[in-house]
Amino acid sequence: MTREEINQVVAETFKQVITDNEKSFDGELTPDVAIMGLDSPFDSVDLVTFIVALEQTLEDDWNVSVILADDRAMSQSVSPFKTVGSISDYIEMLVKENK
Amino acid sequence: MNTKGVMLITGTRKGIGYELATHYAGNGYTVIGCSRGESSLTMENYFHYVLDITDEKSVRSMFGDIRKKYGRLDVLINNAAINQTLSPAILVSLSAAENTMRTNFLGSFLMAREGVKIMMKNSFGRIINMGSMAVKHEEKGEAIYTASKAAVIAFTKVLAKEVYDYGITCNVVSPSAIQTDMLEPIDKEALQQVLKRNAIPELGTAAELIHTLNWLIDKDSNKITGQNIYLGGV
Repeated sequence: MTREEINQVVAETFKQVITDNEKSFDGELTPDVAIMGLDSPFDSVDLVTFIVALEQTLEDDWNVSVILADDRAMSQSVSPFKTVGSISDYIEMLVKENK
Repeated sequence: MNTKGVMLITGTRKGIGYELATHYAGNGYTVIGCSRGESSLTMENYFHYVLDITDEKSVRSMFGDIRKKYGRLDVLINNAAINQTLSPAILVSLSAAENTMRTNFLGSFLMAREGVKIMMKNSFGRIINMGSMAVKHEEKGEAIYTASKAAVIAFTKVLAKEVYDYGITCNVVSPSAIQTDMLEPIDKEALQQVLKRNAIPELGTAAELIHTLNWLIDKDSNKITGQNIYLGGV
C-alpha cells in the first residue's frame, strides 16, 4: 500500500464521516487539517467513528489489520490523531511493519 | 437476513452461556458463541468459535468475520468467567489472580471494545456484562473474583457514557447463584448461608436471567444504561 493510497483512504474516510455525521467542512483537505481539538470539524464521537472506519477500510479493502489506537500511539509525544497528515504518517508506519 | 438480530455470547460451551445460546438461537436470533473448547450445541442459527477471549488476535479475527458476514452486531453478552481463586487472598497465587482478572475483566473489555466498533455503524447495540452477587456480599475467600466483577461493573458504567451517543447501551446483570459447574467447588452450607442474605434465599434460574436480558435487549430499553441489576433480591 503506497503513501498515495493511504492518503486517498484517509481523505475518503474523512469526507464520509463529515457527510454521515452531518458536519460542515468547506476547506481544502490538506495534511494540516486537524482531526482533534478546537480547530477540528470533528467532535470526540466523530473522531472515534473516523478511527474505527479507517481500521475497517484498511482491513476490508487492503487486507491490513491494524489497531490505530495502540500502545505506541498513546505514548507518542505528538499524538498521531492530531491532523490528517499525522494519522496518515502513522498508518504508513503500521502498514510497513505489517508487511 | 431473516433474524431478530445477531447476538454474540461468550462462554457458551457449558453453564449459563450454553443455556442462553440455546434459548436465543431457538428464538429467532443468529447466535455466535465462543469458548476455549468445542461446543456440543448444534442449532441452525448457532455458530461457534473456539478461542480464548483474552487473545486479542483471535478476538479481532472473530469480530472481522462477524462484520464481513453479517455487517451488524445487535447484542453482546459477556458471560465467560472463571473463578480459580476460591481461597483467602493471602493464599492466592499471582498467576491465578491474573488469570481471573484477565478472563473476567480484560476479556469483557476486549469483547466490548471490538463489539462497539461494529454496533456503532448501525447506531444500535446492547452490551450486557455478567456481574455477581459477590460484589454486594463481599464474601471472604472470594476477594479476587469479587474484585474482577467489581471491575466489570465500574467499566460498564463508564463505557455506557462513552457509547450512548452511538445508540449503544451497556448494563450489568448480577444474578444470584445459578446451578452451574462454577458452584461445584463451593461448600454447599456456605452457599446456603450466603443465599440467606438475599430476599429470595434460593438459587437463581436461567429463566429469570433471560427475562431480564430480554428487557434490556428490547429496542425500547434505549434509555436504560450504565446500570447494575441484581437478581434474586440480592
